[in-house]
Amino acid sequence: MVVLVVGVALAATALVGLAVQATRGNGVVGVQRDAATIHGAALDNAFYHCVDVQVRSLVAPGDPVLLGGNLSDLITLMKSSGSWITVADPPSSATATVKLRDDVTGPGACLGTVVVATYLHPHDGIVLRTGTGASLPGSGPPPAPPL
Amino acid sequence: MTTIPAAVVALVVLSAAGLVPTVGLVGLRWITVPLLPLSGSVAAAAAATGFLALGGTFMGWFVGVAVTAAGVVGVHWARRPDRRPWRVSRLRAVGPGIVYRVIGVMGMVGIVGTSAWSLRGLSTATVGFDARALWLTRAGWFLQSHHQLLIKMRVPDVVLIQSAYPPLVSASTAVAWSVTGTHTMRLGVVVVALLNACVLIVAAFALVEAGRRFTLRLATPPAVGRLSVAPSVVGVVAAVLLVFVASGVTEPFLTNGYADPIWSLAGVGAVAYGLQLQEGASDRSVAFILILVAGLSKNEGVANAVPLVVLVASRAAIGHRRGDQHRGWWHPVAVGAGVLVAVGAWPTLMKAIHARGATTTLSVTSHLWTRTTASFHGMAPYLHVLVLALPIAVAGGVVLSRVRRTGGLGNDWWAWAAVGGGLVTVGGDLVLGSGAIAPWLETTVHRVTEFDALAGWWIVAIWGVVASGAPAQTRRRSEDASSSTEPREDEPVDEKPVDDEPVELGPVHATPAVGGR
Repeated sequence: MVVLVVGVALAATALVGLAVQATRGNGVVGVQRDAATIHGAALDNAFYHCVDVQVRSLVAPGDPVLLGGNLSDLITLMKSSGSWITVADPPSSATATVKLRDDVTGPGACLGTVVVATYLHPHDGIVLRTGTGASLPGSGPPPAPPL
Repeated sequence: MTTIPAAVVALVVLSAAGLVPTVGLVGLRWITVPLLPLSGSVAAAAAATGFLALGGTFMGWFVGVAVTAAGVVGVHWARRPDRRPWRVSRLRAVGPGIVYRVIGVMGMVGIVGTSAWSLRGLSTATVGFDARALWLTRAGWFLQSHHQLLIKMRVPDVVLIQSAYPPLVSASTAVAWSVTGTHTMRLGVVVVALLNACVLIVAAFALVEAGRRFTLRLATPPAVGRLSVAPSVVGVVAAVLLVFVASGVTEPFLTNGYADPIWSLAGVGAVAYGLQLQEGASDRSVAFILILVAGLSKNEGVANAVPLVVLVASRAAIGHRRGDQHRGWWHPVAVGAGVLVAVGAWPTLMKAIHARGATTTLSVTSHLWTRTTASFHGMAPYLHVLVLALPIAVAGGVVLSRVRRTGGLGNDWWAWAAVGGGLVTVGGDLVLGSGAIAPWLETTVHRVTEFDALAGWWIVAIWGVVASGAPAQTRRRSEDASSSTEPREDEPVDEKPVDDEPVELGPVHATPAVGGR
């Protein structure tokens, strides 16, 4: 009799506990489809796509380059173009140094950021070019997705 | 190619790579299907390791690994015709019956359906921070030249110290990008999410297996009647609920390209098949494949894989020593050692090539107590399930142990040992690590505790299945007492391991043995 009572009670407790947590879990998944999440994801994708297009306007996949700037900018460059860009090693083999310039106003920027590349030209000295091909109006980086 | 067809192609290619070794190891079972792409992802991780170590091309290594694995299994089948999977068709003629199969179909349909529903977060095109910065970015590195890959793994300018993490997620994405020509983060996220779903399906289906095997054992003698179906029904219900629970524990990382869900869920699956179901070669192979998935996905997965391998191999070896197959006790130990070598290959390679972030500094500092309490308080909010699981396990262990043995299920102390191993390794890393503890906890603790939380829910679920067999067990014992003097099947005296054939008929082979360990 003890086995029967404890068994029924335990089975009911386990299933109720699972059901309650399952309901919560289903709600957590639902949050991924609310308007704020969708907007944040779209902005995030648009920002990194914009930066990637500007990087591609400055360097080709096989060009050895250096990545410059502060830690935040380096991470942004890695997130946008790190999968295909060719990193120069040794640094002297680089054809260009790619950086971000932040707090840029006006058209041609990705949420206030533009990509710039510095080339050492044999005749013209240092040449600075700004990335083109994409822009995203607004300012500041996109809201950080959950870590 | 757009994302959906590209993801389908990627899954097919990964599944093709995993087909022969998975069928060879696991046999023709329901869970073989979701295991195929997971085995393929293990092949991709092995390819990434070989490519980084020796050069060549990543896809060349991937094809080479897949063909070699298939060849080894083919030679095994040639030498041991009795191990060929098509033997199953003959064995099915003496199978356990239509009810057993119907329950399996119901369980699989329910689990696949809820898993698909739980992936609805994919409708939002989220790419997680680490996914974009590391897991998916590194996929592109594997498709570049060996020289460039070495540069990116080494030079400090690239700033990502996590690039030394195990390669499975990135390598699987690299396969997807290579075979489809679609180099998008979105494709990477979708492929990783589908792999997460596959491992979730495998882990949840263990509850269905546990329930229907329990029913099969209770169904003889038939006097128990309909009560014997209860574990099967509860197994299906618990499995479906566990999918929802797991989705809640792992979101948003289940659908944004992170590596945490796949190693956590794979760890839970390894607990289920390696430590809770009746031990046998097929279930143990499932466990070892899942341990490989966990150990090749993330550093925390490596840390959890080691105790899991030790536990699974130990349980199997102890089973052999207790049973009538003394000579084979070292087989699971040898396989476990091989799994450890495979899991350890990537971290060893990281040190050998002096990869950025390859060295982990552990030290006993004067802040040990501060770090310990901070880690405890950081982890505790994500492990509330243990408050439910512990009393259930204690009550079940005290009152329902005989019922559990009748069902052929392993002692849940094995699962608790796995939970403890996970807490010790992850917690130890936090306590002894050199990083600032507060931001470390803030940014990672909810993800690195996923395994322990999910394992806690697994323990709750499996006790639900066990407890549902109590009424039938009670009826059966009263029937036995009044009508028979023959030894009952649930007496824990006939404990011998089952070196089962890699076929679907685990319960049929398992029936003579009692999983009291």
